[in-house]
Amino acid sequence: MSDNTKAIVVGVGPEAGLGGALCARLAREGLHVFVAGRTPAKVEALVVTIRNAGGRATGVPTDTTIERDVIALFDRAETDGEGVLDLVIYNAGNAAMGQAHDMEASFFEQVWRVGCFGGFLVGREALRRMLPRGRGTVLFTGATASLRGKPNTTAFAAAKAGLRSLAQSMARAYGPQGIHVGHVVVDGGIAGDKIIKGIPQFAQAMGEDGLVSLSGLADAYWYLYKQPKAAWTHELDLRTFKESF
Amino acid sequence: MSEKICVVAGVGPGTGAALSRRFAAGGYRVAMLARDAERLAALEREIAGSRGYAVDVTEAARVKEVVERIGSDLGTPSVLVHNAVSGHFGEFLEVAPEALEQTFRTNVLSLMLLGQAIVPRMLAAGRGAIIVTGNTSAWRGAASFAAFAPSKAAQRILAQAMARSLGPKGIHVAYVVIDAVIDVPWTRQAFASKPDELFARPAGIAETVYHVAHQDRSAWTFEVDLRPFGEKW
Repeated sequence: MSDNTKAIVVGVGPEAGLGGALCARLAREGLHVFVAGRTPAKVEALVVTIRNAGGRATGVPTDTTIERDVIALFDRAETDGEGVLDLVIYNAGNAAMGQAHDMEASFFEQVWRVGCFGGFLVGREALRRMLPRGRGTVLFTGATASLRGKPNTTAFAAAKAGLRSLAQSMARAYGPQGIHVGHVVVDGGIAGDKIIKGIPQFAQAMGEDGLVSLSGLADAYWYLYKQPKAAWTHELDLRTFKESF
Repeated sequence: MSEKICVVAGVGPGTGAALSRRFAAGGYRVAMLARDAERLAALEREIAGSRGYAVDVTEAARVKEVVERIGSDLGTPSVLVHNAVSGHFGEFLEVAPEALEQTFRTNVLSLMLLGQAIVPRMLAAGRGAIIVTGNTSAWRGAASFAAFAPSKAAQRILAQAMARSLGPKGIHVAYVVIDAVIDVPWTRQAFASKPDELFARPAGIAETVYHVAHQDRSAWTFEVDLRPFGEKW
Protein backbone atom coordinates (compact mmCIF):
# COMPACT_ATOMS: atom_id res chain seq x y z
CA MET A 1 0.00 0.00 0.00
CA SER A 2 3.04 2.28 0.44
CA ASP A 3 3.16 2.53 -3.33
CA ASN A 4 -0.06 4.45 -3.32
CA THR A 5 0.59 6.54 -0.24
CA LYS A 6 1.63 10.15 0.11
CA ALA A 7 3.29 11.88 3.03
CA ILE A 8 3.98 15.51 3.87
CA VAL A 9 6.97 16.48 5.98
CA VAL A 10 6.91 20.08 7.18
CA GLY A 11 10.10 21.57 8.55
CA VAL A 12 12.85 20.30 6.29
CA GLY A 13 16.27 21.96 6.34
CA PRO A 14 19.58 20.29 5.49
CA GLU A 15 19.64 16.75 4.11
CA ALA A 16 21.48 15.69 7.26
CA GLY A 17 18.77 16.89 9.60
CA LEU A 18 15.69 15.28 11.11
CA GLY A 19 13.32 16.57 8.41
CA GLY A 20 15.68 15.42 5.67
CA ALA A 21 16.21 12.01 7.26
CA LEU A 22 12.46 11.51 7.64
CA CYS A 23 11.82 12.39 3.98
CA ALA A 24 14.56 10.04 2.80
CA ARG A 25 13.26 7.21 4.98
CA LEU A 26 9.64 7.59 3.86
CA ALA A 27 10.70 7.70 0.22
CA ARG A 28 12.78 4.55 0.73
CA GLU A 29 9.68 2.86 2.17
CA GLY A 30 7.88 3.67 -1.06
CA LEU A 31 5.84 6.74 -0.09
CA HIS A 32 5.58 9.80 -2.32
CA VAL A 33 7.00 12.53 -0.09
CA PHE A 34 6.07 16.20 -0.23
CA VAL A 35 9.05 18.06 1.11
CA ALA A 36 8.06 21.34 2.78
CA GLY A 37 10.75 23.69 4.00
CA ARG A 38 11.30 27.42 4.07
CA THR A 39 14.45 27.47 1.93
CA PRO A 40 13.79 26.50 -1.72
CA ALA A 41 17.43 25.53 -2.38
CA LYS A 42 17.49 23.05 0.51
CA VAL A 43 14.13 21.60 -0.48
CA GLU A 44 15.27 21.18 -4.07
CA ALA A 45 18.57 19.57 -3.07
CA LEU A 46 16.76 16.95 -1.01
CA VAL A 47 14.23 16.23 -3.74
CA VAL A 48 17.07 15.61 -6.19
CA THR A 49 18.82 13.26 -3.76
CA ILE A 50 15.63 11.27 -3.18
CA ARG A 51 14.85 11.00 -6.88
CA ASN A 52 18.40 9.93 -7.67
CA ALA A 53 17.95 7.14 -5.13
CA GLY A 54 14.83 6.01 -7.00
CA GLY A 55 12.29 7.56 -4.64
CA ARG A 56 9.37 9.88 -5.31
CA ALA A 57 9.50 13.39 -3.91
CA THR A 58 7.97 16.77 -4.66
CA GLY A 59 9.38 19.96 -3.23
CA VAL A 60 6.96 22.59 -1.97
CA PRO A 61 8.73 25.57 -0.38
CA THR A 62 6.41 26.61 2.43
CA ASP A 63 6.31 29.15 5.23
CA THR A 64 4.41 27.14 7.79
CA THR A 65 3.32 30.23 9.71
CA ILE A 66 1.29 31.51 6.76
CA GLU A 67 -2.16 29.99 6.48
CA ARG A 68 -2.49 30.21 2.70
CA ASP A 69 0.95 28.61 2.22
CA VAL A 70 -0.08 25.65 4.34
CA ILE A 71 -3.40 25.24 2.55
CA ALA A 72 -1.62 25.43 -0.81
CA LEU A 73 0.84 22.76 0.34
CA PHE A 74 -1.99 20.36 1.17
CA ASP A 75 -3.88 21.13 -2.03
CA ARG A 76 -0.75 20.36 -3.98
CA ALA A 77 -0.19 17.09 -2.14
CA GLU A 78 -3.80 16.03 -2.70
CA THR A 79 -3.79 16.68 -6.43
CA ASP A 80 -0.22 15.94 -7.48
CA GLY A 81 0.10 12.34 -8.63
CA GLU A 82 -1.72 9.17 -7.65
CA GLY A 83 -2.43 8.08 -4.12
CA VAL A 84 -3.80 9.20 -0.80
CA LEU A 85 -2.25 11.44 1.85
CA ASP A 86 -1.82 9.14 4.85
CA LEU A 87 1.03 10.63 6.89
CA VAL A 88 1.85 14.19 7.92
CA ILE A 89 4.84 15.11 10.06
CA TYR A 90 5.27 18.52 11.68
CA ASN A 91 8.94 19.01 12.32
CA ALA A 92 9.29 22.80 12.10
CA GLY A 93 10.74 24.75 15.00
CA ASN A 94 14.02 26.22 16.05
CA ALA A 95 15.69 26.10 19.42
CA ALA A 96 15.98 29.88 19.67
CA MET A 97 17.47 30.76 23.05
CA GLY A 98 17.04 33.78 25.25
CA GLN A 99 15.78 34.98 28.61
CA ALA A 100 12.59 36.92 29.21
CA HIS A 101 13.94 40.22 30.56
CA ASP A 102 15.76 41.22 27.38
CA MET A 103 13.64 39.45 24.78
CA GLU A 104 11.89 41.33 21.99
CA ALA A 105 8.17 40.63 21.92
CA SER A 106 8.42 39.97 18.19
CA PHE A 107 11.08 37.29 18.85
CA PHE A 108 8.84 35.47 21.29
CA GLU A 109 5.93 35.65 18.91
CA GLN A 110 7.95 34.38 15.95
CA VAL A 111 9.30 31.39 17.90
CA TRP A 112 5.72 30.55 18.87
CA ARG A 113 4.50 30.98 15.30
CA VAL A 114 6.96 28.42 13.96
CA GLY A 115 6.94 26.11 16.97
CA CYS A 116 3.23 26.00 17.76
CA PHE A 117 0.92 27.99 15.48
CA GLY A 118 2.30 26.34 12.34
CA GLY A 119 1.57 22.98 13.98
CA PHE A 120 -2.04 24.01 14.37
CA LEU A 121 -2.32 25.04 10.72
CA VAL A 122 -0.71 21.83 9.48
CA GLY A 123 -2.67 19.65 11.91
CA ARG A 124 -5.94 21.27 10.90
CA GLU A 125 -5.35 20.86 7.18
CA ALA A 126 -4.32 17.23 7.73
CA LEU A 127 -7.49 16.52 9.71
CA ARG A 128 -9.73 18.17 7.15
CA ARG A 129 -8.44 15.76 4.55
CA MET A 130 -8.01 12.62 6.66
CA LEU A 131 -11.24 12.69 8.70
CA PRO A 132 -13.56 11.99 5.76
CA ARG A 133 -11.45 8.90 5.00
CA GLY A 134 -11.37 7.80 8.65
CA ARG A 135 -7.64 7.13 8.60
CA GLY A 136 -4.27 8.84 8.67
CA THR A 137 -1.33 9.61 10.94
CA VAL A 138 -0.12 13.01 12.16
CA LEU A 139 3.19 13.15 14.04
CA PHE A 140 4.71 16.15 15.82
CA THR A 141 8.35 16.60 16.76
CA GLY A 142 8.82 17.61 20.38
CA ALA A 143 11.89 18.30 22.47
CA THR A 144 13.09 18.26 26.05
CA ALA A 145 11.64 21.77 26.18
CA SER A 146 8.16 20.34 25.53
CA LEU A 147 8.23 19.15 29.16
CA ARG A 148 10.14 21.84 31.02
CA GLY A 149 11.27 25.43 30.72
CA LYS A 150 14.87 26.33 31.45
CA PRO A 151 16.18 29.91 31.83
CA ASN A 152 17.27 30.12 28.20
CA THR A 153 14.31 28.32 26.62
CA THR A 154 11.77 31.00 27.52
CA ALA A 155 10.23 31.28 24.07
CA PHE A 156 11.15 27.83 22.76
CA ALA A 157 9.74 25.88 25.73
CA ALA A 158 6.51 27.90 25.68
CA ALA A 159 6.06 27.08 21.99
CA LYS A 160 6.99 23.44 22.41
CA ALA A 161 4.72 22.91 25.43
CA GLY A 162 1.92 24.49 23.41
CA LEU A 163 2.58 22.16 20.50
CA ARG A 164 2.55 19.15 22.85
CA SER A 165 -0.83 20.14 24.29
CA LEU A 166 -2.17 20.72 20.81
CA ALA A 167 -1.06 17.22 19.80
CA GLN A 168 -2.66 15.71 22.91
CA SER A 169 -5.97 17.47 22.30
CA MET A 170 -5.96 16.28 18.71
CA ALA A 171 -5.15 12.72 19.74
CA ARG A 172 -8.01 12.61 22.22
CA ALA A 173 -10.47 14.19 19.81
CA TYR A 174 -9.67 12.30 16.63
CA GLY A 175 -8.21 8.95 17.74
CA PRO A 176 -11.70 7.46 18.00
CA GLN A 177 -12.29 8.66 14.44
CA GLY A 178 -9.32 6.69 13.18
CA ILE A 179 -6.61 9.38 13.12
CA HIS A 180 -3.40 8.47 14.94
CA VAL A 181 -1.79 11.57 16.45
CA GLY A 182 1.65 11.11 17.95
CA HIS A 183 4.17 13.35 19.72
CA VAL A 184 7.87 12.45 19.74
CA VAL A 185 9.98 13.94 22.52
CA VAL A 186 13.56 14.15 21.31
CA ASP A 187 15.45 14.42 24.59
CA GLY A 188 18.83 15.66 23.45
CA GLY A 189 20.78 17.16 20.58
CA ILE A 190 20.31 15.58 17.16
CA ALA A 191 23.28 14.28 15.17
CA GLY A 192 22.60 16.48 12.13
CA ASP A 193 24.28 19.39 10.38
CA LYS A 194 22.63 21.97 12.60
CA ILE A 195 24.72 20.80 15.55
CA ILE A 196 27.64 18.95 13.93
CA LYS A 197 28.43 21.78 11.49
CA GLY A 198 26.70 24.67 13.27
CA ILE A 199 28.13 24.23 16.75
CA PRO A 200 30.97 21.71 16.32
CA GLN A 201 32.44 22.46 19.73
CA PHE A 202 29.17 21.32 21.33
CA ALA A 203 29.06 18.18 19.17
CA GLN A 204 32.61 17.42 20.20
CA ALA A 205 31.84 17.94 23.87
CA MET A 206 28.96 15.45 23.62
CA GLY A 207 31.43 12.82 22.46
CA GLU A 208 30.81 9.62 20.55
CA ASP A 209 27.15 8.55 20.68
CA GLY A 210 26.32 11.73 22.57
CA LEU A 211 23.76 12.95 20.01
CA VAL A 212 20.53 11.25 19.00
CA SER A 213 21.05 9.57 15.63
CA LEU A 214 19.00 10.44 12.56
CA SER A 215 18.46 6.78 11.68
CA GLY A 216 17.25 5.95 15.20
CA LEU A 217 14.78 8.84 15.03
CA ALA A 218 13.56 7.83 11.58
CA ASP A 219 13.06 4.26 12.84
CA ALA A 220 10.86 5.55 15.67
CA TYR A 221 8.68 7.75 13.46
CA TRP A 222 8.27 4.92 10.98
CA TYR A 223 7.32 2.54 13.78
CA LEU A 224 4.68 4.94 15.10
CA TYR A 225 3.24 5.21 11.60
CA LYS A 226 3.06 1.41 11.25
CA GLN A 227 1.64 0.70 14.72
CA PRO A 228 -1.49 -1.49 14.74
CA LYS A 229 -4.70 0.41 15.46
CA ALA A 230 -5.49 -1.77 18.48
CA ALA A 231 -2.46 -0.44 20.36
CA TRP A 232 -1.41 3.10 19.48
CA THR A 233 1.21 5.23 21.20
CA HIS A 234 0.58 8.93 21.65
CA GLU A 235 3.89 10.05 23.09
CA LEU A 236 7.33 8.55 22.66
CA ASP A 237 10.54 9.81 24.25
CA LEU A 238 13.92 9.21 22.60
CA ARG A 239 17.45 9.75 23.88
CA THR A 240 20.88 8.21 23.47
CA PHE A 241 21.87 5.49 25.90
CA LYS A 242 24.44 7.73 27.54
CA GLU A 243 22.13 10.70 28.05
CA SER A 244 21.71 11.56 31.72
CA PHE A 245 18.08 12.46 32.23
CA MET B 1 26.58 -18.21 22.41
CA SER B 2 24.57 -17.62 19.26
CA GLU B 3 21.01 -18.06 20.49
CA LYS B 4 18.95 -15.09 21.59
CA ILE B 5 17.27 -15.57 24.95
CA CYS B 6 14.29 -13.66 26.30
CA VAL B 7 12.79 -14.02 29.78
CA VAL B 8 9.08 -13.20 30.09
CA ALA B 9 8.04 -12.94 33.73
CA GLY B 10 4.30 -13.18 34.23
CA VAL B 11 2.83 -15.35 31.51
CA GLY B 12 -0.95 -15.41 31.54
CA PRO B 13 -3.23 -16.22 28.62
CA GLY B 14 -3.15 -12.60 27.34
CA THR B 15 -0.15 -10.29 27.16
CA GLY B 16 2.41 -12.76 28.55
CA ALA B 17 1.50 -15.44 26.02
CA ALA B 18 1.48 -12.89 23.18
CA LEU B 19 4.90 -11.60 24.26
CA SER B 20 6.28 -15.14 24.31
CA ARG B 21 4.91 -15.79 20.83
CA ARG B 22 6.30 -12.50 19.47
CA PHE B 23 9.82 -13.03 20.77
CA ALA B 24 9.80 -16.66 19.61
CA ALA B 25 8.75 -15.42 16.15
CA GLY B 26 11.75 -13.07 16.29
CA GLY B 27 14.09 -16.03 16.75
CA TYR B 28 14.36 -16.01 20.55
CA ARG B 29 14.28 -18.93 22.89
CA VAL B 30 11.78 -17.74 25.47
CA ALA B 31 11.95 -18.59 29.18
CA MET B 32 8.39 -18.20 30.48
CA LEU B 33 7.94 -17.53 34.19
CA ALA B 34 4.59 -18.01 35.94
CA ARG B 35 3.16 -19.83 38.91
CA ASP B 36 0.78 -21.99 36.87
CA ALA B 37 2.80 -25.01 35.65
CA GLU B 38 -0.07 -26.38 33.58
CA ARG B 39 -0.50 -23.20 31.57
CA LEU B 40 3.25 -23.07 30.97
CA ALA B 41 3.26 -26.68 29.78
CA ALA B 42 0.54 -25.90 27.25
CA LEU B 43 2.47 -22.87 25.95
CA GLU B 44 5.70 -24.88 25.79
CA ARG B 45 3.95 -27.28 23.43
CA GLU B 46 2.65 -24.40 21.33
CA ILE B 47 5.75 -22.17 21.13
CA ALA B 48 8.80 -23.77 19.58
CA GLY B 49 11.99 -23.39 21.60
CA SER B 50 10.21 -22.00 24.65
CA ARG B 51 10.60 -23.32 28.16
CA GLY B 52 8.35 -22.80 31.14
CA TYR B 53 9.57 -22.22 34.68
CA ALA B 54 6.95 -22.49 37.40
CA VAL B 55 8.06 -19.99 40.02
CA ASP B 56 6.79 -17.34 42.38
CA VAL B 57 8.81 -14.29 41.35
CA THR B 58 8.29 -12.56 44.70
CA GLU B 59 10.54 -15.07 46.47
CA ALA B 60 14.15 -13.96 46.37
CA ALA B 61 15.71 -17.42 46.67
CA ARG B 62 13.47 -18.90 43.97
CA VAL B 63 14.23 -16.03 41.58
CA LYS B 64 17.99 -16.51 41.98
CA GLU B 65 17.62 -20.21 41.44
CA VAL B 66 15.46 -19.89 38.34
CA VAL B 67 17.79 -17.34 36.74
CA GLU B 68 20.68 -19.79 37.31
CA ARG B 69 18.67 -22.53 35.67
CA ILE B 70 17.75 -20.39 32.68
CA GLY B 71 21.45 -19.56 32.34
CA SER B 72 22.46 -23.21 32.15
CA ASP B 73 19.41 -24.42 30.17
CA LEU B 74 19.27 -21.69 27.53
CA GLY B 75 22.07 -19.16 28.00
CA THR B 76 22.37 -15.50 28.94
CA PRO B 77 19.16 -13.52 28.43
CA SER B 78 19.47 -10.35 26.38
CA VAL B 79 15.85 -9.36 27.09
CA LEU B 80 13.75 -9.41 30.24
CA VAL B 81 10.09 -8.49 29.94
CA HIS B 82 8.54 -7.89 33.34
CA ASN B 83 4.84 -8.56 32.93
CA ALA B 84 4.05 -10.08 36.33
CA VAL B 85 1.16 -8.28 37.92
CA SER B 86 -0.99 -8.61 40.99
CA GLY B 87 -4.20 -6.61 40.75
CA HIS B 88 -6.58 -5.48 43.43
CA PHE B 89 -9.88 -3.67 43.20
CA GLY B 90 -11.36 -1.55 46.01
CA GLU B 91 -11.67 1.93 47.48
CA PHE B 92 -9.47 3.22 50.27
CA LEU B 93 -11.73 2.40 53.23
CA GLU B 94 -12.55 -1.08 51.91
CA VAL B 95 -9.15 -2.52 51.03
CA ALA B 96 -7.10 -4.65 53.36
CA PRO B 97 -3.56 -3.38 53.97
CA GLU B 98 -2.35 -6.88 53.08
CA ALA B 99 -3.60 -6.28 49.53
CA LEU B 100 -1.23 -3.33 49.18
CA GLU B 101 1.59 -5.49 50.46
CA GLN B 102 0.76 -8.17 47.92
CA THR B 103 0.63 -5.79 44.95
CA PHE B 104 3.96 -4.25 45.99
CA ARG B 105 5.58 -7.67 46.25
CA THR B 106 4.47 -8.78 42.79
CA ASN B 107 4.62 -5.50 40.91
CA VAL B 108 7.66 -3.83 42.46
CA LEU B 109 9.75 -6.23 44.52
CA SER B 110 9.83 -8.91 41.82
CA LEU B 111 11.18 -6.38 39.31
CA MET B 112 14.03 -5.63 41.67
CA LEU B 113 14.68 -9.33 42.33
CA LEU B 114 14.63 -10.33 38.67
CA GLY B 115 16.63 -7.26 37.66
CA GLN B 116 19.31 -7.82 40.28
CA ALA B 117 19.60 -11.48 39.30
CA ILE B 118 19.73 -10.94 35.53
CA VAL B 119 21.48 -7.57 35.05
CA PRO B 120 24.96 -8.78 36.12
CA ARG B 121 24.73 -11.39 33.35
CA MET B 122 23.64 -8.76 30.84
CA LEU B 123 26.49 -6.46 31.92
CA ALA B 124 28.97 -9.27 31.43
CA ALA B 125 27.56 -9.78 27.94
CA GLY B 126 27.70 -6.02 27.33
CA ARG B 127 24.07 -5.60 26.37
CA GLY B 128 20.48 -6.11 27.40
CA ALA B 129 16.98 -4.73 27.48
CA ILE B 130 14.46 -4.74 30.30
CA ILE B 131 10.92 -3.81 29.32
CA VAL B 132 8.32 -3.41 32.05
CA THR B 133 4.60 -3.47 31.29
CA GLY B 134 2.49 -1.03 33.26
CA ASN B 135 -0.89 0.56 32.94
CA THR B 136 -2.88 3.70 33.59
CA SER B 137 -2.43 3.22 37.35
CA ALA B 138 1.23 4.14 36.96
CA TRP B 139 0.07 7.72 36.31
CA ARG B 140 -3.14 8.04 38.26
CA GLY B 141 -4.69 6.76 41.46
CA ALA B 142 -8.33 6.12 40.63
CA ALA B 143 -10.68 5.74 43.61
CA SER B 144 -11.15 2.01 43.16
CA PHE B 145 -7.46 1.19 42.88
CA ALA B 146 -6.27 2.27 46.34
CA ALA B 147 -4.28 -0.94 46.87
CA PHE B 148 -3.11 -1.28 43.27
CA ALA B 149 -2.23 2.09 41.72
CA PRO B 150 0.48 2.89 44.31
CA SER B 151 2.32 -0.30 43.31
CA LYS B 152 2.23 0.53 39.60
CA ALA B 153 3.43 4.10 40.24
CA ALA B 154 6.28 2.70 42.32
CA GLN B 155 7.08 0.16 39.62
CA ARG B 156 7.36 2.95 37.05
CA ILE B 157 9.68 4.96 39.27
CA LEU B 158 11.83 1.91 39.98
CA ALA B 159 12.10 1.32 36.25
CA GLN B 160 13.11 4.97 35.80
CA ALA B 161 15.85 4.64 38.42
CA MET B 162 17.04 1.48 36.68
CA ALA B 163 17.02 3.21 33.29
CA ARG B 164 19.15 6.09 34.56
CA SER B 165 21.56 3.75 36.29
CA LEU B 166 21.87 1.08 33.61
CA GLY B 167 21.45 3.08 30.39
CA PRO B 168 24.99 4.44 30.29
CA LYS B 169 26.18 0.86 30.92
CA GLY B 170 24.41 -0.32 27.76
CA ILE B 171 21.26 -1.83 29.31
CA HIS B 172 18.04 -0.35 27.94
CA VAL B 173 15.20 -0.08 30.46
CA ALA B 174 11.75 1.03 29.26
CA TYR B 175 8.26 1.28 30.71
CA VAL B 176 5.15 0.58 28.63
CA VAL B 177 1.96 2.21 29.90
CA ILE B 178 -1.03 0.26 28.61
CA ASP B 179 -3.84 2.77 28.94
CA ALA B 180 -6.67 0.39 28.10
CA VAL B 181 -8.55 -2.78 28.86
CA ILE B 182 -6.62 -5.70 27.38
CA ASP B 183 -8.52 -8.07 25.11
CA VAL B 184 -8.66 -11.38 27.00
CA PRO B 185 -11.66 -13.65 27.66
CA TRP B 186 -12.33 -12.46 31.21
CA THR B 187 -12.28 -8.75 30.31
CA ARG B 188 -14.61 -9.44 27.37
CA GLN B 189 -17.01 -10.96 29.90
CA ALA B 190 -16.55 -8.30 32.55
CA PHE B 191 -16.96 -5.46 30.03
CA ALA B 192 -19.41 -7.17 27.72
CA SER B 193 -21.06 -3.90 26.70
CA LYS B 194 -17.80 -2.21 25.64
CA PRO B 195 -17.36 -1.91 21.89
CA ASP B 196 -14.57 -3.79 20.15
CA GLU B 197 -12.41 -0.72 19.56
CA LEU B 198 -11.93 -0.21 23.30
CA PHE B 199 -9.90 -3.39 23.75
CA ALA B 200 -6.12 -3.37 23.30
CA ARG B 201 -4.98 -6.54 21.55
CA PRO B 202 -2.20 -8.51 23.26
CA ALA B 203 -0.51 -9.05 19.88
CA GLY B 204 -0.44 -5.28 19.30
CA ILE B 205 1.08 -4.71 22.74
CA ALA B 206 3.66 -7.43 22.12
CA GLU B 207 4.58 -5.81 18.81
CA THR B 208 5.51 -2.55 20.52
CA VAL B 209 7.39 -4.27 23.37
CA TYR B 210 9.40 -6.13 20.72
CA HIS B 211 10.09 -2.90 18.83
CA VAL B 212 11.26 -1.03 21.94
CA ALA B 213 13.49 -3.95 22.98
CA HIS B 214 15.30 -3.62 19.65
CA GLN B 215 15.75 0.15 19.37
CA ASP B 216 19.21 1.33 18.42
CA ARG B 217 21.04 2.68 21.45
CA SER B 218 21.45 6.04 19.73
CA ALA B 219 17.69 6.58 20.16
CA TRP B 220 16.17 4.81 23.12
CA THR B 221 12.69 5.30 24.51
CA PHE B 222 12.03 5.17 28.23
CA GLU B 223 8.27 5.52 28.35
CA VAL B 224 5.73 4.50 25.77
CA ASP B 225 1.94 4.69 26.09
CA LEU B 226 -0.42 2.35 24.30
CA ARG B 227 -4.16 2.46 23.79
CA PRO B 228 -6.64 1.24 21.20
CA PHE B 229 -7.72 3.99 18.82
CA GLY B 230 -11.23 4.15 20.27
CA GLU B 231 -10.12 4.77 23.85
CA LYS B 232 -11.34 7.94 25.58
CA TRP B 233 -8.45 9.30 27.66
